[in-house]
Amino acid sequence: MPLDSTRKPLRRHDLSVSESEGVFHVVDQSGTPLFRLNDTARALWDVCDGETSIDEIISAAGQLFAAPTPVLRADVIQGIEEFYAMGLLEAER
Amino acid sequence: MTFCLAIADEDNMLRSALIEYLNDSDALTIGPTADTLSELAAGEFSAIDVALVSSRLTDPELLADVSAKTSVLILLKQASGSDLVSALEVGAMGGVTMTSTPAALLANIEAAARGEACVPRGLLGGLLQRLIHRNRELMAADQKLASLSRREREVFALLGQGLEIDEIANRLVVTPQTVRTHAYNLMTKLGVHSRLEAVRLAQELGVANDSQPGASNAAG
Repeated sequence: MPLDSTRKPLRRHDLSVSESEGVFHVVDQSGTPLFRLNDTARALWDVCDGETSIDEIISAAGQLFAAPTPVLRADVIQGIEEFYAMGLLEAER
Repeated sequence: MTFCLAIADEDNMLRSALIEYLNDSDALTIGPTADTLSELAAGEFSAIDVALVSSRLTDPELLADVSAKTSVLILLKQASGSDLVSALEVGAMGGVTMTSTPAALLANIEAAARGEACVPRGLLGGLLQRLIHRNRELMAADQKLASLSRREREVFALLGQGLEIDEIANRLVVTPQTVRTHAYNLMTKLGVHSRLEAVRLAQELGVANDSQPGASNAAG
């Protein structure tokens, strides 16, 4: 089922981002790396603040990148679906 | 393939250093250089692939003019996204920071020449957040704009064009006091605290471009 683009994804409160030798990872409270973040994924992670809808993220990404909106929409949704699949985001209540 | 780069920077020494920095590259030829954006904008663009423009040369109209003619990269004098957000909104391809290595700078110039966006690593997340907040502010301002009366909107547009109270009164065929009343009311509705803020908001919302406000002289 496609992700609802009005959803406002929220990072799990017990996770943080750690950087080592220029590489970023989402880590748990023990520092165990859970997910490697490239630059784009890191930017997406930063805006998963529970207050920003997926539509807002796509709109802002459209102002940064020249890619067509359907491509950006697919990329953003894929990225957030991956965060959900890895258990990195709070489940929607 | 060789790219032609124009450089606009108010700092002569930095401009010379950039030319020396990049001159060794076989992929690049240095084209026109300028110390102001207006000088760059007045030049010939047919052979220019990328214009590297100092973040301190901030005139949005001139930047939009140059961005329409060639790919523009902003040379960020500090690691802040706010200069880049404004430049991206008028069509710049992206930015490079002063800490870029020659190889990274060249890679970004080549990417911009191909029409690809170039956002400095580490600024992307902050830029996205700034854009999101700015979009929300503009949306809120749009909603406030809808609350203005027709006459208030006319006064707002004329303020945005830089007209003085007396000039607005003449244009709308009302008294200056009436204009002041409209200005006070619209500023209250829009949540701005000075005429300068009102002018800036009118320009951001595109209201200042409303053509021929005040054609009617209905009471108000």
